[in-house]
Amino acid sequence: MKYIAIVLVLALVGCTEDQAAPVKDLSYQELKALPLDCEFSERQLTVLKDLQRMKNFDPDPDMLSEPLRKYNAMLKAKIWWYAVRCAKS
Amino acid sequence: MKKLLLISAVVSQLAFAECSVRSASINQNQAQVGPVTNLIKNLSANKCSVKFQITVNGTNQSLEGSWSGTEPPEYLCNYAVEQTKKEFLVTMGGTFRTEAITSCSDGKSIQKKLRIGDAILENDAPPHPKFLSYFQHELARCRVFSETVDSVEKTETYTGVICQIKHTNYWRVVDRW
Repeated sequence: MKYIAIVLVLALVGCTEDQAAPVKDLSYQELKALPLDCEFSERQLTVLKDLQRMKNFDPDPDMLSEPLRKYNAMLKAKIWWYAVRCAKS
Repeated sequence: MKKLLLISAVVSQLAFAECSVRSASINQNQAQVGPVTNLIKNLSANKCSVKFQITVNGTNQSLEGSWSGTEPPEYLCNYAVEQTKKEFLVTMGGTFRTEAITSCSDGKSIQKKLRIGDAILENDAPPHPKFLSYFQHELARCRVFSETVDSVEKTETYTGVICQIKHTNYWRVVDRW
């Protein structure tokens, strides 16, 4: 009975915990291939901003190696694309 | 602001610092003046001739002018642009207000690259050729810029976003990559 109660408690705790999906690390090619669509801007921006937070690049592009600079540029360009193209009038 | 500029000027004289004055004219009547684009500079001894385009009230204008003096070449060209622009705008009538940012460095060369957080005049950030329009971001008017920086080894191109600081003619560099 005790074991059942423990299992039930653990199961309930598991259900109520914040189940935030882990941030998926993307290669440059995967990032580049991400589609841009204003209709899904909220969801896509979350993915991109989570990725940006995870990467934590130096804000000064001159401090980054060439591949990282390229990756950072692609990431920021995609994030700003939504502000430029999807602004609600 | 005047005091700040005056202090900057005095300090620069005392320390023999290198200073750069960046200014822009604002027509206080209704004319909408866009940033300088397609700027071509032609430097010769103590003279800089410039050709560029600006948009005034939605109409593209091609302007030409020059400035002579003993200042460093880059300053001559900046003055040439500003003076040419002012002369053209004067032909449209109205009153003009000029704002300037003075940057000084203590004997070192002036850092020309834009940095995130910099407060600049709009024409310090050349428009990005593919994203010319302004857009709204967090209630501010913003646009994308493209900056080319030449060094001895290579030419680097940076992209970024500037947003207008509320109720001023200054813009903040909010991102750069």
